[in-house]
Amino acid sequence: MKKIIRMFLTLALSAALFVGCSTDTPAAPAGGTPSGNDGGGDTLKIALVTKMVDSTYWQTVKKSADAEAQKLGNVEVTHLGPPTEADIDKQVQIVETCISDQYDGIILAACDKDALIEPVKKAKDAGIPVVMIDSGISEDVYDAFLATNNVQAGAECAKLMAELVGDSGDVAIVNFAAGTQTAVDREKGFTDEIKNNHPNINIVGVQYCDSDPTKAANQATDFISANPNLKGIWGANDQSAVGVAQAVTEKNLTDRIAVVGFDNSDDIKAGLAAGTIKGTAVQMPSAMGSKGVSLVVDLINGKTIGDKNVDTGVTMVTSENYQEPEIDAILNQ
Amino acid sequence: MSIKEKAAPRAVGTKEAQKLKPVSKTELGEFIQKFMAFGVLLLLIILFGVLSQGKFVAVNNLLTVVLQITPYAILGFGLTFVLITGGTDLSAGSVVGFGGIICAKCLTMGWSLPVAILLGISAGALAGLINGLVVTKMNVTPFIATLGTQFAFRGLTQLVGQGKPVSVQSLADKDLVASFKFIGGGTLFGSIPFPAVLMLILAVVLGIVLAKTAFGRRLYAIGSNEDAARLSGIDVFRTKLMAYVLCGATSAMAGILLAARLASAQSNAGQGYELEGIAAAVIGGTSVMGGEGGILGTVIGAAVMGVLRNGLNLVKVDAFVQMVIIGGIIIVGVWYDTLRRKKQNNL
Repeated sequence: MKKIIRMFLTLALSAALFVGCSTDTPAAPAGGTPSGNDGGGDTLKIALVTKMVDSTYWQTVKKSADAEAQKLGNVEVTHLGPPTEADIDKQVQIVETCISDQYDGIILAACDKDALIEPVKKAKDAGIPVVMIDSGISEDVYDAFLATNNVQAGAECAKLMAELVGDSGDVAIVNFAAGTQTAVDREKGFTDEIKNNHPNINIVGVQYCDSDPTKAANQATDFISANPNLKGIWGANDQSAVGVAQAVTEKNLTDRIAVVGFDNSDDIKAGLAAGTIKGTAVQMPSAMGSKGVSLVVDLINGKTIGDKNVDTGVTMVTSENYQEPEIDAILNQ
Repeated sequence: MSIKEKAAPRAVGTKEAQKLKPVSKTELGEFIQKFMAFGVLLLLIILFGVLSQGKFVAVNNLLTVVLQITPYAILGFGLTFVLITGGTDLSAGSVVGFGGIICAKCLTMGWSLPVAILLGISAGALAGLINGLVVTKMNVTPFIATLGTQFAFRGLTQLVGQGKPVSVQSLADKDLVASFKFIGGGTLFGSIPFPAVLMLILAVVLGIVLAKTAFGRRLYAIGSNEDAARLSGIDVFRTKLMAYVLCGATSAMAGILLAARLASAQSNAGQGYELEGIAAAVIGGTSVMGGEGGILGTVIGAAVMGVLRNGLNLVKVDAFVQMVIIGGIIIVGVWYDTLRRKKQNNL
């Protein structure tokens, strides 16, 4: 018995080693703390407050925000955020500090749709325009909201699918969750586009894989068995698409069944390169950064903006265009 | 695993049955339950064969079903051991993710495939050891203990993967990727899924362990009456601990197969799989109260679940209706088990 325990302790240590290796040090707010000193002259001080700072996604937002600021001139963007998305109260504090530090404008991706309502109201009361990006708040107190319109994005996937299957035949959907708003929106966009504009395409069914690629693979395999003439399957997020592509590959049907995905990951990129995934809808964090800055500057300058809700759109990346420089940049944004 | 179903009908047929009444009744009951599950399985196969106009019973589709049930069955084997002791392991699904991601992480760090697999399984066994210690040494009820570790092991999995999948697919060593994928989805002789072969070998080995070894028999003794088992000199602590370790190891094996099939370990892999495994065991005649069950039953139970899911997909039943039907089947399975026990106790 002691031997066994000793053996396991050794294993425990080695396991701990792995965990240790892969854990990054927690992210501290980047870009310095908001400073109360006046930046001098006419430079507009804009705070970009994201859900966290240390992830490729938010770094992409920041980079494009900086680029836009440079383009406009006289605009300075400070990137702030809590260490993790779960640190809601820290994000509230950061926004409050931004108000007392008299920033000219705030771009905010809310960690929580309710907790951030008050801080946004306070900023508005202090005359600071607030542009929400990526994740909004549940009360309409902000000036604008930039995010992916998932209905529209789903329709884009349907258009690509229609193109791939020659505008006729059977297609199936493997969605990632039942009842999640983004999933519902994407599915609605896809099915409406097919029904309204591609009457010769028949959607044979929808399955929900709970973002489990193995379940997605099983469901796709069953779609293939049940529908011998199936020509395409849409996986509505990263894991669904990877699972669907796996099933089609296992059945040696990559040439006959087109797989369209959504989002982007190392596995999706590998699928595009291998041709097992024919295309995927990639969301545009870079557009959130640049449009966020230009909008907030417009607001500071007293310009009125049109629609409060702005769709930052998706880019359809296909196995044909993924190597083109500007598409590659989007894929690796 | 085969001893029971062979012994039962013989006992009924002879006068020995009279003398061995309590034992043979249990065995008869078990046989009927297994036979019942097997009967249900056959019935479903015929039903779906007709409803799908033959698509369901096509050899390729049946092999697909076997591939589909493999991870659930393997996970179910370990759970069968734990359930027989009267325990449960709700963390099994998290351990699926943990074992898979440790194995994939090892591969991305440049370790060889056998070492990575061994470390993945060891990580699962270690998780099982922790479950076992919490249950036996800290005396926390298995339901609560493993509910806690379910969160903990999932958290560890997310930590290792940093919330993202660990992709083996994108490694430069294409031979390694190919052999890893073979383990999870390769075929022998052109059509027999390799993981299914692994599952069957494991079923035979674990079936023998459960039915023929002293360790296996002790599990039943503990599950039937823990105090009596202790008084008759069984090392309850050690036996239970081993059951949890085994369950952790089989969970990790299932996780490695899942990761291998996609050449990518998801940090949310295996979420909810513990319930699939428990359902497979219970439909196959393993009692959640302990003391009864077997590996063959779990294979049949997993097959019932897999056939239902695949068959309903093939006859194009709505995804939400499917959940209702599958849920109903599980309840009927357990209800039947309860009725049977009541009858037994009255006799």
